[in-house]
Amino acid sequence: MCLCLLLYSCISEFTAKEIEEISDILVVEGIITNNETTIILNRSVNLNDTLDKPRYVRNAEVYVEREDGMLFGKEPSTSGHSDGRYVIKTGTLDINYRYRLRIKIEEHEYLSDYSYPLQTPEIDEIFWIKERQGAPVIIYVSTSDPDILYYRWSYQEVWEVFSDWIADSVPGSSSIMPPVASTGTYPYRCWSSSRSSGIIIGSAVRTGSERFAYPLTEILATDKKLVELYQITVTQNAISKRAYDYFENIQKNASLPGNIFAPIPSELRGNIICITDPRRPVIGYIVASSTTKKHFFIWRSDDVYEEVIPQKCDTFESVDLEEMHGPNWKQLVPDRYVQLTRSSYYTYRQCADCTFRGAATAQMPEGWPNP
Amino acid sequence: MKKALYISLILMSFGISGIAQQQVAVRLDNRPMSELFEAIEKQTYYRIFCTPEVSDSLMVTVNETHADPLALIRKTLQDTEFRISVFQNAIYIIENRTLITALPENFHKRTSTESSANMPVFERETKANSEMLVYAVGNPNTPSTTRVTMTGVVTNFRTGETMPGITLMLEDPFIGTVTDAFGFYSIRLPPGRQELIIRGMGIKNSKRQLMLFSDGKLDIEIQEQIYSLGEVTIMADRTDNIRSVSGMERLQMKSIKNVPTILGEADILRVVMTLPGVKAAGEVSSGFNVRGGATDQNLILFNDGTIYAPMHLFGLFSAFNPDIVDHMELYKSGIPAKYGGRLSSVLEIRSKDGNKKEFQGTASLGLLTSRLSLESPFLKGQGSFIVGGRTTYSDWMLGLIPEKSGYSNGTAGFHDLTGSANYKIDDKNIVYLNGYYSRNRFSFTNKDEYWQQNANFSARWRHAFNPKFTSVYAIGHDHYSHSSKDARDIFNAFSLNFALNQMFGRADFTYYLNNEHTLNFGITSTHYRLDPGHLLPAHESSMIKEDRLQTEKSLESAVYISDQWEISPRWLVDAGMRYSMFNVLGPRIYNTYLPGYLPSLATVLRTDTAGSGVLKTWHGPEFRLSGRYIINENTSVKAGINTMQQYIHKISNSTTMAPTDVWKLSDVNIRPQTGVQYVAGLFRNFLNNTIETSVEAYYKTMNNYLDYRGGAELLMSPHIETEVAGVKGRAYGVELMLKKPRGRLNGWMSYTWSRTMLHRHEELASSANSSNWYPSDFDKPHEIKFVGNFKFTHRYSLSMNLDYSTGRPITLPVSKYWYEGQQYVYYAERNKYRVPDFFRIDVSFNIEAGHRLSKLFHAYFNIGVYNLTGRKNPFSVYYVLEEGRIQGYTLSVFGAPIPYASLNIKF
Repeated sequence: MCLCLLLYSCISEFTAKEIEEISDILVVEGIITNNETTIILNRSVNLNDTLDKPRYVRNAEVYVEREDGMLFGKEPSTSGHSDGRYVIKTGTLDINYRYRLRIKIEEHEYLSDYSYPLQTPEIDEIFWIKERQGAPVIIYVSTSDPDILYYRWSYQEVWEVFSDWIADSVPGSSSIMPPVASTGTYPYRCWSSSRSSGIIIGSAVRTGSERFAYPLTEILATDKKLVELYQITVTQNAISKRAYDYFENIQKNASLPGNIFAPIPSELRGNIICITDPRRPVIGYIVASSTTKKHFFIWRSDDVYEEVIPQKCDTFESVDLEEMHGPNWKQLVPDRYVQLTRSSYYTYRQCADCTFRGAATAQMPEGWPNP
Repeated sequence: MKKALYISLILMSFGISGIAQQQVAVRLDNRPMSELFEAIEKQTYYRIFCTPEVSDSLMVTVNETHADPLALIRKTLQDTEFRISVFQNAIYIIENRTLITALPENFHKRTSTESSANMPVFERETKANSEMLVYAVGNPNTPSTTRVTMTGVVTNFRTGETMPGITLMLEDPFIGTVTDAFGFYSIRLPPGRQELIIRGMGIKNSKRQLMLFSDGKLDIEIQEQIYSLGEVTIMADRTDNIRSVSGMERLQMKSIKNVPTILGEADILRVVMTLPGVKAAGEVSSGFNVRGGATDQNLILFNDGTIYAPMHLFGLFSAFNPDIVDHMELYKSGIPAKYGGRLSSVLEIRSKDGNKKEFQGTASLGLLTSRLSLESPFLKGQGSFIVGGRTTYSDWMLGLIPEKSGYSNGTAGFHDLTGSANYKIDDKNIVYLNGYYSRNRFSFTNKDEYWQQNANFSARWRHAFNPKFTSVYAIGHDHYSHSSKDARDIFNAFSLNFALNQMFGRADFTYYLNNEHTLNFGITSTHYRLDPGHLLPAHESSMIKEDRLQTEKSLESAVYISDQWEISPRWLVDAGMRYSMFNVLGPRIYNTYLPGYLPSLATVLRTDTAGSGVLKTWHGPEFRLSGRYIINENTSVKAGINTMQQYIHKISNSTTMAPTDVWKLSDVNIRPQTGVQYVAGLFRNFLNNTIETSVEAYYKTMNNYLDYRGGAELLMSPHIETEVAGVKGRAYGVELMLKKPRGRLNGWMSYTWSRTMLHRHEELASSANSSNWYPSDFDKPHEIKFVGNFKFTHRYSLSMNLDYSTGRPITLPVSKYWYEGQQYVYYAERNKYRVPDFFRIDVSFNIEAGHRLSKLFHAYFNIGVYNLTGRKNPFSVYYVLEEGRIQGYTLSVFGAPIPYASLNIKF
């Protein structure tokens, strides 16, 4: 058994020495699509540098060009692009013309290859499966189109969150469970949301494009997302094979298993070049593709949530608080402690205000089906 | 065992006293005979054996100062009933008779009754097994005045198995030959009395005395060097280093069992990897690279069958049962015209024949595997067979492998079965049947599974038309397949199968034209049927559509002729030509692409459908030329040129041979690989041929080697030509070798400097300014290897392995960025960086328990440590995103000392 312990030490941290790091590669994110095309620009950093958030490019000029000379985004918004986000009104894409992206940053100019807009099919269905008790809930997106084999998706999730306790900001006011957060009451019900992160692509090559389901995401059955009502909004874009290959390669490079049969990493060239200096690498692949969207809900009644023993916040009586903070404890209310509704107990403010739960908001999303 | 007794008698009766000229000075006055004997024993090397009647009851008086001891004893005994017999340094004194110094009349046709060995004894029609007899070859009534042709078969005295690779030679004039794969030889010798020297691995150095009259036949039986436990010998003969012409290295299974290996499994492929010029990308790699060639450029033949999966369990073990394998030959250069179809090397592995004299078995218990083999003669020794099996019996090993390697939660197992039988119809005809089956299975989780199998069957018939003209015919079927199943996502659960079947037939002829010329020629043909992919749903909910890529059929044929021409004793040239042809057969649907562009779906010109019949033919000549010039008896220079063609390609995107790699036949769009190798070397022996050294340099080019394009989907791709690209390669290097093949300390040490560079298509470079030449995955410029064995006694020995090399090239990320809310990395040019240098020492201690022939069980035990220093040699470097930060890790496959023990029993 000593063998076992010894062998386990076979993985060790590694910092490459004497490598020529490359920084400042332009990274172009986005799809030329109907109505509004959003392009996000940022730059890479050296491998060993810190990169807590993207290094956005804020001073670029971004245009979408149509083959016939039509130019979109001629007047770049002057509001500044602090989040590297450039929104171009492209209108409805004309499938008879090819589109490309042109970016100007200081003295350099970048151009993507032309591509015909792909007609993305509607999402047929979003559904979930849970194989057994304890298994995660897997959410699938299914789509079908005789001509489209490669897809890219992104999604946004919204779910209801609840504070542990109910407290009114005006002690003594009555309602047991305020249906909607309102002024004067600490919100008990909120909505959290998150965006998908990372590249999500799928290929229908093996299943045939007539019937294709892709596992978008997995949620643990004990995840609080599923407590009451969970919504996922999926955005779908058809992409070309070359774009698929490009994104798949980026994905593979980021998740190399490091094992003996792991594929050898390599970079593929995207379809964007720096025309003022073709030797500068550019990361990204720009396709033109219409966008389709679909919402999907998982309700409490779907019975997928598996409750774990709730660990609620502590509550205190006034004597406890006096003991802890002295006679002036009342000054800590309501910033730190709040009194529970119809009760003489107190709890921490964050335990009775659901907006403290992550980035939750007390504002009900538009069209939320659970009033 | 009776035979063995006869042998000792023969030895005794014809022993030549090596101490003939000894003299004694003795003065005795009526003293017992024993005192005379004492004096003789003290002053000479003689030992005297007699009964007490002689030594004690006889009284002698002598006074001599320079007496011949034999004459002296004879004189003192002349009036008695006692007679003396001498065998080497032993003097036997027996009443009334001399020892029987000749065999009975009915045993040998002609005998000599002389007690000394001075008189020749002509031995006929039997197997020449004695050094002391003189064997007559040919008809004494029609003696030849020119050279005579002697042919025969060399067999193992103990087991009756044929012995390939045994050198037979005369020293003056120097004439030599080596037995072929069937133990047959043919040699042209001057008539008259000759002494034939016999050398070979694992056998006792020996000689046979011949009286050559005319062309004739002589079968030779030789004895194994049983106690030569530590011999890590790879050369057949002391002067072979100087005299041989090919770049062939020969390894005998029994001589490699002391080379320390992972977990104590004697592993012939591991030892191959210790030879200079042979590299593996990592410690656990299923394939090996010979002089810069890719892993698919080695033709691995096991008893004529082509092996596509030479390793078990991701490369932990070779797929050949060490108890069954007899020997292997690796051609790095000077590849005979007989072989073709791969660019870099030929590795030919032969199983044992099976014991022709008695039933025998071998069993072994290792930490991971168990094996059993049985061998026996049948039909009165006219035939023999050997069967063997090997299996793993637990999955515990996988639990020990680092989790990150991806195997730790899995299960794995393998087994292999080998069978071989031969039957000698008569002196001119022998038939062989061979079968091999190996299967590997492993899974990482309970929802996925991989398996792989290799099955081969072949039949061979050796026919001698006459002593100068022999032929071998072989037919066979090879099967290789693998399958993977992935049911982790039920809607996309699939299984994927790959299969390759080939049927081959070949006829090889050897014609010993005269002393100067030996001709080899033949014809070979292989029919391939390759099913590149069959996709099936693997769950009832799976939406995967059954899909089958079109079957590829092809026919590869070749004719060859070569002449080994001994121009003079110094000059030897082996010149050969092989013409190979590859017919791509229909029916098939194929694309034609825009010329001048890399095939891609965007450059498809048209799609054609071809019916049955030949749809495309690739063909070309291959030249094989090697020459040797002996400068003096210790020094020679050799040079050669090889050109090769390869029509089957492995398509892989990983560094090592993965179990899921698919093979692809050349077709309309995939050109054959071609290669040329130039090699030159200087060979010199020192210290009476006990030290062999060599310096060899090579330069090699490769064309159309298939490399995957980045991000390519290699499985189930209907147009694989759009996923791969032909790569050009060049490899060059210098190999220095120092070898001490025998002695208490034996082994070899080598240093190799080599480079392997590949050149890819411009369209595939990751950025416009990256270089198109890049080092291959196994480009390790400096390499030092040492394999040594030291014998304390015949039973105890210590072995050591040392391996140092420059770290292998890897591709490292050089930049990182955000995309869609996640961090990704940007990789540098391919193989621009290297992992840290590789260094490893293994030691083992070997105990051979009782090495007498008569013992019922023969046990062999070894204990050792693999990677003694515990150095964490990184196999790979990979990067993962952890808490928003990209962190690099290295994976070492065996990053700790691994002790092992194994026991082998022979019965």
